[in-house]
Amino acid sequence: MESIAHRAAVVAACACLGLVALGTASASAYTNSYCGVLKTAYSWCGDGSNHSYNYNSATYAGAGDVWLCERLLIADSTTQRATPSCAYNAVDESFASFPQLTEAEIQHQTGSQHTIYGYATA
Amino acid sequence: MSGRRTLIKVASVLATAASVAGVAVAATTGAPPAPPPAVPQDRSAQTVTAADATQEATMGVLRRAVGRGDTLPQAARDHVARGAGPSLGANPALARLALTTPLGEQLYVVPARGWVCLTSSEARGTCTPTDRVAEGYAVSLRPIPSGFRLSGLVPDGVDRVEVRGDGQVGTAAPAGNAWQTDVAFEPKAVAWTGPNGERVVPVSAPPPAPVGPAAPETVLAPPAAP
Repeated sequence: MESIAHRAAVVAACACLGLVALGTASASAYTNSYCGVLKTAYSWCGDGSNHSYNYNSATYAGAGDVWLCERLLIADSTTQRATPSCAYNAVDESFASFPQLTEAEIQHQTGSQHTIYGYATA
Repeated sequence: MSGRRTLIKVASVLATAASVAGVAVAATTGAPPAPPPAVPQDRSAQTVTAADATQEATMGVLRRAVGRGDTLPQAARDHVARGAGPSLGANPALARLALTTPLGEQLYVVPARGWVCLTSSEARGTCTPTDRVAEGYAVSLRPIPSGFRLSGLVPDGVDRVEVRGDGQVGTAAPAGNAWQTDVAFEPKAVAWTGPNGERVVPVSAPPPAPVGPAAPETVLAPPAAP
């Protein structure tokens, strides 16, 4: 009886590990927290590297409300992967796969200078 | 006899009203108090287990029970898992479908830790500190081929949203505390009137830049068999 209980526990543990492994497998392989510095309005802040990004976000958590935009640029160019998305305080977008590498960028358009944060995954 | 009927009717109406009020109060008081807003850049927010009292008091859509039709599509779930989940504690299991646009895009209201998110079935979203929703700051914008697409959240009691440009106005009728509209002009502000008066919030288009060719939509392949 104890053996059956032990086996059941082992099976349950394996199932849990399997689920954890699946979750890990579906997570992004590369994450990049970028910017996080004081930026002048209308000045793009880029991650400075080229990746197959599938997600980009811009956030602001200081006082007041700040209008933010995020975009992906086709690597080493000024061509956007898609039109930017903009919103107050937090905006993000997921992207389908794309044949070229991209760079992640964010900006704000409120007042003079604010610290804004970018986060992208590939 | 007629007087007795009237009395019965009055009693019935009062009982119904008391019942409705009781449900409303129970729904409101059952919610946890609003936590301090998560700090997004920390990316360590604990996932919320219920909409908080401020969220429920602000947005009626969060006072109703989660139903089958509220299930986020997989792309939107993945989107929350990448972003608003770890950064703001957003819980996709608490999402409520607010509206479906004429083009079939679905907008969901997703509670987070001191924030509320408006998440699209097209895997994009915006999140707003809960107390800023009533001030009009739950607004997002993106350029589309015909102009601009704007969407947002409003508190209870708002039945019309205006998108204002230079002498031009577009309107939207909120549903489930959410709204979306397309305009063919450059938007300068979003305005609405709610229980606490008019709110007018400036918006601006992103600076123009060339856009690359549309990427082919890729369907994720199922995992390979072992």
